[in-house]
Amino acid sequence: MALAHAPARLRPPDPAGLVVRLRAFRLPLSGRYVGGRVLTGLLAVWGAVTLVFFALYSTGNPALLLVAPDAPPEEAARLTALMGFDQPVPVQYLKFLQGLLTGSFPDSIRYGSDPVAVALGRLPASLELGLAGLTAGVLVGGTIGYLSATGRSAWVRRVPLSAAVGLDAIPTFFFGILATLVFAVWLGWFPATGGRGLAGVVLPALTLAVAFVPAVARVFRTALVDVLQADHVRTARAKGISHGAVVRRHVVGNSLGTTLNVVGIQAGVLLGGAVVTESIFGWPGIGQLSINAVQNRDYPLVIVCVLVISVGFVVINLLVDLLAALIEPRLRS
Amino acid sequence: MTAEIAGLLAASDAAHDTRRARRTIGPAGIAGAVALAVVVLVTAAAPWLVGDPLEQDFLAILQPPSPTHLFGTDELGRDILTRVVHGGRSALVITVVPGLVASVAGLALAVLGALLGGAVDAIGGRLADVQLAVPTIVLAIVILSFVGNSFVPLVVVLVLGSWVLTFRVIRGHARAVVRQPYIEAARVAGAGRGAIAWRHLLPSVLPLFFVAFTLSASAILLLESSLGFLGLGIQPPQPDWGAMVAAGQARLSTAWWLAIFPGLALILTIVALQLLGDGLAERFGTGRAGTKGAPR
Repeated sequence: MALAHAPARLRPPDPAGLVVRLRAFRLPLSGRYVGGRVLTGLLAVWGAVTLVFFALYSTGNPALLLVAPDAPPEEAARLTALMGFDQPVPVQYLKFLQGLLTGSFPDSIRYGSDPVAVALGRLPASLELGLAGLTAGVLVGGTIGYLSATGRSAWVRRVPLSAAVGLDAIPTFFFGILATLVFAVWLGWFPATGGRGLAGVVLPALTLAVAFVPAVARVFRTALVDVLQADHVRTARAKGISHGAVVRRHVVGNSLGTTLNVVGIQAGVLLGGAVVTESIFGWPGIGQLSINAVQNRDYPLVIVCVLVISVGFVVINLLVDLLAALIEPRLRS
Repeated sequence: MTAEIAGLLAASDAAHDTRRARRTIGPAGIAGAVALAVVVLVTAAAPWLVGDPLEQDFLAILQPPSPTHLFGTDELGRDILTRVVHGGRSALVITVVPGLVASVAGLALAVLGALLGGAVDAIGGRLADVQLAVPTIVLAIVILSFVGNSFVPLVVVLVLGSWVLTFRVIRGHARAVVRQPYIEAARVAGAGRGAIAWRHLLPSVLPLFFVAFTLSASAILLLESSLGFLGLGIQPPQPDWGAMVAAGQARLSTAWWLAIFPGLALILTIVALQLLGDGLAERFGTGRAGTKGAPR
């Protein structure tokens, strides 16, 4: 293993370079690390499932919640037996888990069809908004963090960062309302309810980004300041490399790993923000669907939405963790 | 793991902060304290300052801001200023109660963990990790939809969504303090664990407790108003800032004052809490650790 990293002259002769190339193809992350992360993610999903079960259980007979209010009593009795709600709690719990694993849910009360299909149908819209918001947040937050760490004048260093920190005090929903009032109602630049197309996505994406711009800006700034004080940066400066080139070549890359990790921690904020943002702009995603399901007391759909959101959260966290570990080997602990 | 990294980052943030702990909470902190005092006084005196938040006047519906109705009126002719002031009462109650519960729980877990170490400490840390792994909004949807959205479930959601903040801030400090010679001296002198916790550890983490409580309160207010906006919070007709903004959204193009004034009141209160919290944090020489990733 170590040979791949040894200086070329110490390696055994390998004319075709085949061995080296094969070794270069090996996954840069150990199976143990990836396995550990996946296991943690599964545990989190299991936690969410258990939470849903006990919340359901605390309502008495969950079967009464899971059928339409006007359904005949036999339907509730059938479901009670089917999901085992008349049995001891551990058996109920196992049956509930079994139902989840086989994907057999009672029909959505509002839509009268499989809630999984309804929820998954809303996923693309949520992903679109999430990606747009993430991009906007990372661009804005990253720029502010960059300016505040490397800016030459005190104004450039302080004003954008103060503005970003001030955003911390504005709730996502109120930022969305303010943005709608100014840019849609008064100026008329963008549609008020997120229509399709590029113009329709601008306000929702910015609103979603507000929740994590301050965190990204602060963490990126801290990481940049840390690296700027490192020895290799002093050496680079001593060689006479210009400020801009030092920052671009020797500082930014070293700051990305830690920043990415904190962006991952913000995934929960992003999800919460997505629920709110979708509600403001009437965005047809899973967040709006789940709030509507709660308001309609469509409990089968609520359960599925919660599960989809939890799995999404875990997957985002997992991807960010793995990506951060790829970029920054020191994080693979 | 992610939680530990956030903590490390916060610690390094504090280490690179060249400003030392100051003897006052600073001008921004004082401004926050004054603004907060004004908010508390005005909302406490609401019955004497303004009228009934539910009083309707159908001769004056959807009036823009004017000398008689400073913040305008809504579609039932209710005075927005009155409703904003009364909304502050429920906002403060729903912020302070879960804030206290969450901070005390976080403090207790952190101090116990630091003092007893071993399994207790590990359980506390693991609980915090689990809490961070479940998005608060999912928690809110599950609890508030199945258990119902009355006062107690709402408090439970807000506590669950915010106790980690206090726990993480105090845990780091408490773990450092128990290694101090004076704790060792107290132990050698024969002080029991309870006495050490009460007489030596608690006084030293108390300033941090107030910092954590203030910052928790701002996070809770953010979360509560978001839930109110989504229709999961305090139920109408009782005025709630988040719900008022939601109600005003439909009339944004014709009556902007419905949504804007409750939102501004919300921002004023949150900014006041954050400025005060940051001021206290600098006064007592701690970074703004643990507030990153606060729920909203």
